[in-house]
Amino acid sequence: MRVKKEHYGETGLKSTLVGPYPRVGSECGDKLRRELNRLYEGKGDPELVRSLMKDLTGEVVHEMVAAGIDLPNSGLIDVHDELTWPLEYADGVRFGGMKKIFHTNVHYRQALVNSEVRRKKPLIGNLYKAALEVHPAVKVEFPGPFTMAKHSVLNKDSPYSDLNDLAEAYARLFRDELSSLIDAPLVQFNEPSMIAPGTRIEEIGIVPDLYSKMLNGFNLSVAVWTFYGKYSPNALKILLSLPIDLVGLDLVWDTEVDALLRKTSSHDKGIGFGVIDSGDRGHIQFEDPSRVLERLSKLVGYVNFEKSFVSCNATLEHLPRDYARRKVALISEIARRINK
Amino acid sequence: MKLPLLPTTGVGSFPKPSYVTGAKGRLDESSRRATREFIEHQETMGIDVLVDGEFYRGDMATDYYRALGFPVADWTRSYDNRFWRKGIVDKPLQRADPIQLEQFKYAQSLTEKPVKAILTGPTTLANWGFNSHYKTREELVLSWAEVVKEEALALVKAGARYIQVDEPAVAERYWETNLFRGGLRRVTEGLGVYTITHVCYGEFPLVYPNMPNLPVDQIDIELSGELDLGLERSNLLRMMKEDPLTKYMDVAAGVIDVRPGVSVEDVETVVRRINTVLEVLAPTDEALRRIWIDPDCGFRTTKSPTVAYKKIEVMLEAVKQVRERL
Repeated sequence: MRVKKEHYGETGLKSTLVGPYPRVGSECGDKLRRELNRLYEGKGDPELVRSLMKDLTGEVVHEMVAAGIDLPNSGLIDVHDELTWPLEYADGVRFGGMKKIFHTNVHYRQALVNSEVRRKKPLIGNLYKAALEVHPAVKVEFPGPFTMAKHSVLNKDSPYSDLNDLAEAYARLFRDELSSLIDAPLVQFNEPSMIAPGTRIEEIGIVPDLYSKMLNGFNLSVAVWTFYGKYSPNALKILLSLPIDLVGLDLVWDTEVDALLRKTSSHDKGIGFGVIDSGDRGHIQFEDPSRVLERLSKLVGYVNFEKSFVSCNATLEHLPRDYARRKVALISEIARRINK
Repeated sequence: MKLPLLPTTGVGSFPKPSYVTGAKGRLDESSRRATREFIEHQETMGIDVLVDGEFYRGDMATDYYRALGFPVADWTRSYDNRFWRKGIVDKPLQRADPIQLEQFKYAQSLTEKPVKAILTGPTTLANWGFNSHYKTREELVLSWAEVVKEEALALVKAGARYIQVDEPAVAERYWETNLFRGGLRRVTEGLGVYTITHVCYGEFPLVYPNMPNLPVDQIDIELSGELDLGLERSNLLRMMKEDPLTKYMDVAAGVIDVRPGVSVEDVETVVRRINTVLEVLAPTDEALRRIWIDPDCGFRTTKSPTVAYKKIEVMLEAVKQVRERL
């Protein structure tokens, strides 16, 4: 496998974003919020909502690209929550109670697994196509199978013996999707549960095998992005051993992972430097680009910057759109300046 | 006031009627009318301890930031199509004027039954906004606690018999449980009235070992999702059965799902949920007398007043059937 750089420009450190992009904060976004409310009250027009989602996808991708982001995602405008949304497209699962996503006031729907999980329709639909109409290279993003399993509950009648078994079922769900994504510049799986507080190192031992099985036979560029936690040497070792091209790290939560990276330079992975604070912990300050450059420059020689990206640590949805725009500009500026 | 077995109550909010507009923490004529009608409805339906419906509220956290004169940012998303505005603490926290005193006084003036005075807790206020002033989380949370404490004292002075401190953020930073408890203690200590904390939609198993030490008379906890999972699949219920919170305090169990789009439960479902509550939390008669029944959370997210009223009716009928059996 190789990172398909031909899709997104020249060599050097590139910029990207993670997770859903803030919806409201523009005329189109505000209108979508109002129309969705109307829809839930039984008064709205589903066709208008779909059309607004498409327009907003175009708008946010344009916003990212205009700000200088090399590899945008589609903004994930239609996802209910970022942890379990692919299961809307699967049989065998129903959604139960709402829970908080880790330490945040953002919620996901707990997935209750009743029977065999099967993909009933494509996970990636028209909004990804709408994003491609704006920019030729848009990465595809999913919650990873390990994280989805950690946020699911097995019904006593389900055919899965434990969450590891379920994670493999989720990996098969993605396998069914991957064959349609061979042209994507990058397919990213977000696996915050691999490092989130509360996850034991023994639990993530299954992840390399999980990804080997899921990706076997596909010629895809794949990233696994992690956030909301710190890295033990073993956790980082496992991440760097995955059969993927890029490992996204949360340099906001873990200010000492740099030292670990300097000790583990024998890998061939690109690194996603999640160095810009997405605001998930209540900080609203804007980073000084010079300080970020200074931090990243200390990793030159230890990380292959040609394969790497700079980004926010997690979704910018923790910020209002106007603040997110400034963070996007900051990410783009850092990539530009470090390449100089 | 003597309460029946399994007293019933609300958590706080109710869907706003269409005539209520522009509420951002202040009581205006439309929110007075909605409060009046809601109090009348609750009395007619036979709820034991009433809530005011929070028709004056914009958002449970944002209103506090506004009241204290802090800037408020544009919308951020909580899930699906639910958003709130985060305030920004950019200077020291200080309560200059009452935040919801007038609202409580008005609601309580409408009824002889007790109305809960409902405050947002210090941890939730700290977590649901931005901070660019305080250097540490401890300073931030405890400064919010001082603000909430002043408000609580004013409410008690105005006659509040039940003070509820909403802390839905309790499990967000479960590693800060000591700080959470410290903030809550600062608010509740010495009030001299019945105190409650409401918690919801969190990974409660992470904080359950610390719940017995909470400095309140009652914990009000969202449970309907867990109750549907049942003892076999719910870690929380198993933990509760092993060490019931009723050993330490009263427990209000949320048995009605308030999320938008969730249809009105049938009575049988809610009776089953209540029976599971009793199985888990009421190993003794003394423990049984410590259990209250209410919805999972405020009904605001339900959107439709009609649906919300139907859900309350179902809850009351289910409680009636369980009481008769007991």
